[in-house]
Amino acid sequence: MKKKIVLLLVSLLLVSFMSTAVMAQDENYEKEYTYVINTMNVDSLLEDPRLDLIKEKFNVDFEFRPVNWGNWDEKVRIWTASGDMPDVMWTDLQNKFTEYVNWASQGAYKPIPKFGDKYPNLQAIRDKLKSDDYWEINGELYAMPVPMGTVDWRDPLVDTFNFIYRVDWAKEVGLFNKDHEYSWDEMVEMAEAFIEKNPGENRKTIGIGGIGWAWPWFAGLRQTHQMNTYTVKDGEYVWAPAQPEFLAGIKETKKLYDQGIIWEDQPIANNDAAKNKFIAGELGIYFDNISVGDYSGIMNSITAADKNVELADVSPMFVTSPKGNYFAEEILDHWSATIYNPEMSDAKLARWLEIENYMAGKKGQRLSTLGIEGKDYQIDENGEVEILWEKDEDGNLINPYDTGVRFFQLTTMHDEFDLNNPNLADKIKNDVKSILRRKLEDDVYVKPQPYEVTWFAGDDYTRYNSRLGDTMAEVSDVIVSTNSMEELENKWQEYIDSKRDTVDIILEELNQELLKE
Amino acid sequence: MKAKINNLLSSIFEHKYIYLMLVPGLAFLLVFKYFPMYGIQLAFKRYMLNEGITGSPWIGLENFLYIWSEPAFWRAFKNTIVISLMKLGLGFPIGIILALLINELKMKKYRRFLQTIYTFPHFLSWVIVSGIIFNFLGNTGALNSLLENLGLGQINFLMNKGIFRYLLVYSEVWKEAGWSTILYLAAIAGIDPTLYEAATVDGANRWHKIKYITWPGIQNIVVIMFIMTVGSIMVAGFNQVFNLYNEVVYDVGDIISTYVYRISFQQAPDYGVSTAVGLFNGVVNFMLLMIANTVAKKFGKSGII
Repeated sequence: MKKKIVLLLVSLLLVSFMSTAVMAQDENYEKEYTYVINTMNVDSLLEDPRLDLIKEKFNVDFEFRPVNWGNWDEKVRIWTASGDMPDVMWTDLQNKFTEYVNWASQGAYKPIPKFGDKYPNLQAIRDKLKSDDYWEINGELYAMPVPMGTVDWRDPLVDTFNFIYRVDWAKEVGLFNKDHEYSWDEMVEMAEAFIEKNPGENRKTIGIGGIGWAWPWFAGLRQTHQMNTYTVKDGEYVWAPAQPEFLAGIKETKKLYDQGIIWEDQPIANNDAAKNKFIAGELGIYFDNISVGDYSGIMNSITAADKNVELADVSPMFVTSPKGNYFAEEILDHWSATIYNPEMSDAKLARWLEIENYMAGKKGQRLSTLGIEGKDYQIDENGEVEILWEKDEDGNLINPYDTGVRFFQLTTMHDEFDLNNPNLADKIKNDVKSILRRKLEDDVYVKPQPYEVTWFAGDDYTRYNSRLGDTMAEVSDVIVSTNSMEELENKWQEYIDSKRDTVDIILEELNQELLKE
Repeated sequence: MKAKINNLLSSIFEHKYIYLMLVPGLAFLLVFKYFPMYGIQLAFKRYMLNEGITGSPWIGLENFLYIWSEPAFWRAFKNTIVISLMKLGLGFPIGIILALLINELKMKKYRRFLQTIYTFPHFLSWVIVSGIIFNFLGNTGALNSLLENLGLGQINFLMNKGIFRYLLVYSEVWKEAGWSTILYLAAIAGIDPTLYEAATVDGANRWHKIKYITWPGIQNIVVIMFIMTVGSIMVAGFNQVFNLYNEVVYDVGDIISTYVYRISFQQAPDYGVSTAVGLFNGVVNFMLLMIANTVAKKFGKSGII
């Protein structure tokens, strides 16, 4: 008996020693792991000293697969389907829940272990996510969403889509409103005046244009509140494109297009074409997702392109919808996610999660946004951050890093930092804040995010919903190629009727599954 | 039987270097054309990543029934055939005519210069060509600026359904006509020059020589090229259409390959459905090829099979 107890104790000691040794090895990161990751701006990233710091700190190396906005989705789909996923795959899972469920349930993704106390910063992210419950499939988490909306006062989390316009032109044509608030008709009137009076002294001035992918919904269709594909009306789900509000939005857009108020090349323009026209001083009113990064890019370019243009000459334009009220949409609480190769070992994934956990913490966030401690910033005796970036001749701080590098935003977006970014002019930050704050005022109708539909993955919905993927192409078609409103209505009705069978199958499932209670 | 095999083997051994030259071509065909046919079974399966192609469950003709009930598929099918036939009818003869005209040029240097000019666009990718077309025909492009300055108003070339297919046909003619003349000029070069000399002695003019010597001399190659073109009718030119089309002209410009691309890579992918579309496309193509071959033989010309 004594012998057995001794043996047991020795065994326990041995196991404990071994596990301690293993832990010590992990904590010291003795084994180097190389991670294959897809990301953007790889050239800048490879020269970024912050990357070296992470490599050194966690004893890891990286191989990057470059993607760009044009091929990101396609590459992710091909890698997933062919089993050739990077170890860490950065993917846009916005409104692609059926794909997520489909691939995850087929074993395409590696399940992520519970975070608990081991990764407290990641757990904190999950705790804050409104969509958190939706991400688990049969009790397993397969993706780490990148949260948005870290700014507390953004509640509810609404979109940043907005018009911006040339204030100096508005003054010149005598239609400027001091508070930048305009009714829909006033905006149209201003666009007409820009075209007719040509304050930009162009061969031809364009009234309204927008970022390419947002056509055709930005110019009236969106503001009719019917952009969510399925919405509850009178107690049951309906298909938004078949509703009269949707048709009203199409007709409003056609009216503006036919009048030449919307840029005639908008339907075939690439993403940045209208933005470039705005920067070049050929377009008066521009619609886009006005994030701090995009807005500062526009402001820097427009002031650089024309020395007579000052920051004060461009401003957000607060426009009521054709319905007469202000409109905003609640957005999803995340943007993009990371997913992991199922072949990756648990230990390798654990090391990556440690990196993510670090990046989600205070130090990691500073590394992402400010740079390296001691070189780019320091903490003074009061615990305040002092930025050490170089300054330009006007005394403005110069960010030494490429802000387009997505690698440092794989854990969380930096929206709070962006809104207070020290190297941006106050005017830029205040303009973006003004958009966000305007959308939170009492007179704004905020269309709620239909989480239950966004995350629905019923069999029929999964199978048939892609058949309706050409709806916006059809909208574009009826706007451009019909010769009268009557013809537009008839053609649109034909399209709606042609989709009726498919839509009915989907609606039946949605009504059964989501409204059964 | 044994003797036949022995004969074959000894023949192969005798011409071993010629057979050796076949190897790269055969390897190419095997690797890129025949081995991938293994995936055709997906057209009859619901693809499951964890089961692989072989292990995925069979679902019979479900994928085909799905696409046949989809109006967008039939629109793409119709567009593919119409655009290909337009290219065949309006574009195919251009290469032949151009070759005959170039052949009639007396000044060798000028002839070479023209050949170079005509052939050059073939080496431009459709991405570049579409850029040129957008800049030339766009609403703010060179042609519309000219029309506007002349007081004639704008023409929306790129979003006009009535124009778009012609745009495809003639942009391809511009890009490829010069290249296609190479084959016909080579065939013309193979015609015995004494025939032309004899015709001259007999008092034949240029038209007579083209009609009675050049044309019969290249007829076989024209027929073969025709059959090959008919055999690729279901391939209406993905690169070209993809770079030139837009949502407004889907009705007249969306072809099978752009449709497959969209359902495979631009929305939640269903590889069974994509494969079914591809297989259906291939079968129709094969049938058209056989019909063209049979018709050519009936008219007394040599086919390709």
